[in-house]
Amino acid sequence: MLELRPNCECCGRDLPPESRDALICSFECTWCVDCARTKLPGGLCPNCGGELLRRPIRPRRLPARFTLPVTGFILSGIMTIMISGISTLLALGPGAEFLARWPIAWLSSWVIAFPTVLVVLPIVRRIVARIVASP
Amino acid sequence: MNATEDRRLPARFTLPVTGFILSGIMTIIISGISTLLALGPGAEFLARWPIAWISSWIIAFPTVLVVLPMVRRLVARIVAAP
Repeated sequence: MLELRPNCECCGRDLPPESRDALICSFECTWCVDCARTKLPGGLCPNCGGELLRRPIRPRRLPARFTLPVTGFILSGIMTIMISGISTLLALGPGAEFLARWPIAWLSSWVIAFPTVLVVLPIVRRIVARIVASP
Repeated sequence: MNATEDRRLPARFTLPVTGFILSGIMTIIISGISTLLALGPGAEFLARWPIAWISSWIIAFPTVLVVLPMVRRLVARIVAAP
């Protein structure tokens, strides 16, 4: 994976992953566009003499430790809106009462399902790893 | 692990097996809490819980097979890969 150095190695200016002002050589030496144009001889990397190209941006992401809570939040939200909808429809039939009760049934089941899935998902992963070969 | 000793299912079964177990555990817990909240503890709760569990599992299993790949794609756009 491409190393995204945080600063210009000449002026020290911040060059975050989503910056479009970063230039890199093939060794990932990192410079801002202003230094490359005004301070680096020939606009080349002063360390290796290679050409400098614009570093592609890397979109901002949450750190990897948020994978479980974000997965659990979305998964439990979608699961409960569908299951509560079908259950309420089966119990009441289509109509105004169904539409009034569905949001209440959804939110109350989501409140239960979200913490539940945070506990259950890691357990399921361990069980699945014993039953199914890893891809 | 030696390939000849690995008696596990092929990797393509990951989604259906995950979905089956996940929906099974989720629905037993959620149907239990919902039924308990609706009826309170007692004989009627114990009689209704298995029915509520099985009927919600029948809905939840195919649902999770569709929803889980969608959630993975969504999460990959929000959270960095580990």
